[in-house]
Amino acid sequence: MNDAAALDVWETAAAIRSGRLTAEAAVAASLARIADWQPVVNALIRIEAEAALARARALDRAAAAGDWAGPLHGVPLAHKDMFARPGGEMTGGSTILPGHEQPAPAPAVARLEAAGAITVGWLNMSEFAAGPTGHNVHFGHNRNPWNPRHVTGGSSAGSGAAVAARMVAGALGSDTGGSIRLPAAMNGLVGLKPTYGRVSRAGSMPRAWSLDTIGPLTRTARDAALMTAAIAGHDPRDPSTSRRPFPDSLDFLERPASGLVLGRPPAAWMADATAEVADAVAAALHVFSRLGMTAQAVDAPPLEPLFALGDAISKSEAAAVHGTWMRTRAGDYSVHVHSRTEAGFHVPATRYLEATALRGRLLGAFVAGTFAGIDVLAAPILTFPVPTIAETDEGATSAIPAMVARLTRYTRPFNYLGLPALALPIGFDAQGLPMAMQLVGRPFSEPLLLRLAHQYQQATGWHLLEPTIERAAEPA
Amino acid sequence: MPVHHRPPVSAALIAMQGRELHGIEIADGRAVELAAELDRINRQAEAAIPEFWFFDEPIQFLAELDALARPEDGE
Repeated sequence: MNDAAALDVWETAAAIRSGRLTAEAAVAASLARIADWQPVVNALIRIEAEAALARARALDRAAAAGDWAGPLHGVPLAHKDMFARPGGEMTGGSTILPGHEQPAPAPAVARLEAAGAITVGWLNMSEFAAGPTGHNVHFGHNRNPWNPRHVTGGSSAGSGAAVAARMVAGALGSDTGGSIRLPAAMNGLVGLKPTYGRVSRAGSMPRAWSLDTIGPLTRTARDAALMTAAIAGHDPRDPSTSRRPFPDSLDFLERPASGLVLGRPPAAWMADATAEVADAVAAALHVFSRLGMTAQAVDAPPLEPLFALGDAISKSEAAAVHGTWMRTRAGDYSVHVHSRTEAGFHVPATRYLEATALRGRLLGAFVAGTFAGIDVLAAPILTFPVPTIAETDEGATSAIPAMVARLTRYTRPFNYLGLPALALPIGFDAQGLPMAMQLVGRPFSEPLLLRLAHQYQQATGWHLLEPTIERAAEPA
Repeated sequence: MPVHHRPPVSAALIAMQGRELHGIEIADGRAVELAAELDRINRQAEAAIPEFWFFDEPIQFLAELDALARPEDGE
């Protein structure tokens, strides 16, 4: 095995299962890769090398005795630093959170570990999961492995950088307004924001509990399916979770796409796209056409009301979560996070209640209208190139809302609607930075989204390209 | 659907509300920014706000998600 860190999640699990690789060697390769890339991308807040190696050796002994933990046996992963475990040191990307008592383990991570995964570290993120770029004044900014002068996207920033740089093959992130899809898009990864209620949020740090979702960032759709299969399902600690099953077998990924109908991105959503992004989206739609899908125009409503209602919920709930610290430890927040959270104190309770009360009605109208006659909707994520860290380092509070709105315009509405959305890499721009679009489905259509993304990846191969540390380390 | 705009909230109210309701001091300039942000949220949201809804609607979001799922999409 030349470089075990080059394997994806599925390949690593298969190599361990066949005896070609040990869990210990897989973890050692991941740790070596982390040592190389961490100074470049700053993707990890804590590395748990000794604990990970000890668990790997235990899993290897178990495997030798014929005792397999599950489909992720021995696979090293790392996760956004916002999941509790007793005795853990979760930061949430903040200097305020450390030291607070943590509840029982977050099921999202615990279920991966029960399936055999090994947690090698905890990933950098936007402070309190509030920020679409990956800036973090406390732990250092996250940097994009395709070009470290550029942002990773956020808030699951380290999740994006770590997986793209092959430090680990998969990572959990959270998505309240785009925080899985943006870093997936900006790092050339698959990122799945599941249906609201598909994955338990128990034991995870909230941003806005009515919108928060947890999902995987991986290089391949097959890996995202593997991780989602492990984490999905009802959890009594999160009463919003559905009892709807996720398939046990990944055979569904190979079912043909022919006969399915793909909704084209509405023209209004692509109006501000650069020529490079528009061409990449058109090329991606052509690939789906070659796979046998039919493209159809859709009638989509304006996104602004859905964005604003989601914004009202997000700001109100974040202000409620942070109210005490905003009064007592205001100086421990970055200007960016303080200003965004502060706005929530001034959204009237009636507006918040309207926003929550109308979700079912607006969801029903959106599915009945936009999804009429189609199976999946294609939509942009970013309609412009991945920005630099300097371009988005807004020091003035007056500029922050517009910057955030520009980055989350096409992601936040789907959090409000609760629909599943998958970030799909569709190529690279002239600067060598990733481009992406999202596939949006009806509720609980994650298997369909993953299946289409898998078949797109088999037909293209963008996911096989790899950032090189030599290029990343070049001076600007 | 008719859209009934709420009047913009003044920066003075934002500053006073911050201080008196939430215990957070807000500088005059920052209160102007917050008032503008709130006005943007209100203007954009109001296009989707109906005049009335019945008792059963506000608690139906999770049920609506479940009802709109197609079995064939999840297999």
